[in-house]
Amino acid sequence: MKQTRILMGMPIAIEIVEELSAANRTAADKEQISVDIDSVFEYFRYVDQTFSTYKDSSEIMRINRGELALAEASPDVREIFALAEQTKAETDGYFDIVNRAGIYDPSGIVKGWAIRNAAGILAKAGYADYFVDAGGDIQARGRNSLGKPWSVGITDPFNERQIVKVVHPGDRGVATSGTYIRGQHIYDPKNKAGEIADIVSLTVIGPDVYDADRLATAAFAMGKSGIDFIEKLPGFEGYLIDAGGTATMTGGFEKFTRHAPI
Amino acid sequence: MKKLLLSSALVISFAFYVFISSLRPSSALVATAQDAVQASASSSPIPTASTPVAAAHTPPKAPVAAPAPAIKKKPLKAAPSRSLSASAAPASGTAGAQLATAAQASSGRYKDGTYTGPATDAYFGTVQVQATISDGDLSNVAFLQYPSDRRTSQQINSQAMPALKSEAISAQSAKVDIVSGATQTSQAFIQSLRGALAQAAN
Repeated sequence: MKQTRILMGMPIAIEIVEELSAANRTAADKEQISVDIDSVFEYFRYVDQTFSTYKDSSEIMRINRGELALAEASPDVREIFALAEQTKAETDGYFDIVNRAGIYDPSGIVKGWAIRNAAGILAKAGYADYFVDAGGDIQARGRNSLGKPWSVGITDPFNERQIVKVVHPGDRGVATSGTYIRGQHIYDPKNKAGEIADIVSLTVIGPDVYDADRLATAAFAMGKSGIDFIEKLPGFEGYLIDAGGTATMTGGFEKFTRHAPI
Repeated sequence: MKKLLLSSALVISFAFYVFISSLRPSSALVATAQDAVQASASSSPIPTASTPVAAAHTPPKAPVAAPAPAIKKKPLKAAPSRSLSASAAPASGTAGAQLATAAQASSGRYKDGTYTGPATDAYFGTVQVQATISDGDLSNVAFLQYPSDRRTSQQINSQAMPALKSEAISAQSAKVDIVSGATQTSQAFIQSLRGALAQAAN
């Protein structure tokens, strides 16, 4: 059973694979799956209420306005701030939840963290085959409805209707960071044929989606060097696409592109 | 003979005077065009911080406004017509109309100038871009608003990474279960940029 809803300003898709012996499944079982999917969406709604910089009443905005001290915030908010500090230290400052307006905006870490927790809800409910996809960051477990390993397509940064790479991440998390320009310039008009230094997409496969997301965010901020950063990290693989359409992948990335999963 | 010499001297002096005048912005010969361009710049309602490209091109040579001498001591290059068109544009009216008049002669896909796209919702914040067109093409895109901070890249002196592998991206026809790619922020950026370019389109 698969459902997609727009929450947190992005499409969130959840699929729970019902056992292949569907004939034995009663109506009550199907109802339970629907209820469990609802619980996951409910969790994302809660995350939105707490962390959205668009909602005046969110805890994060109350902290930004000085109405709420971090020490008095909810456990989840305090956890996110602690994780953000840790990530900032691990990435030599390339990851920082303080945005350019001087406001706390933890979106680069909340998304992966929330997806990891959402997948945990389904694991706790007893499911072995499912995925959670929020805005292109993915945590999958088990196999799809055809009994095959989950396949993930990396979209073409220049044409979202096309896919440029197919990976089979197994139980690992997948996160793609990207914007179409980074910084102020896209190219030097005096040197249009010259090398375009900017990158447009960086996909990271890591032990789970929380790690993949926060490190993809940090690595993207490093530009082309971001792929070197991922290469140096044991347990992480990456696929970088630059503004000229050239992709650079880490040494172990191709183990995810073969049909046999890890 | 004397008459010929005198006439030649007069003509040469005049040609020399025109030549000298064309080099000095304050010269009376080009005053009309200059003043008009200055007036246009000060009254421009374009809501961006940057000076309109048209007005910035204060031409040192503007022979079109001058009575064209029959004898040319030095070929006087015509000033970009956009700056003179700006001088002729009415002071009132929308920024779009001003720019439209100013860039009539531009042969590029877009009209030169700076255009601000709409502030677009990217969930965790707003994206708004400002596009600059030079010589008819997009030459710069600046963020006026962006949801999360991106540090400017510092030169990382990384060691050679022989394990890294490069390839040109290519469309894959395989069907997949799940898709990972452009985020809401990217889409908001594209929308804002499209909005800016729509204003710039010829």
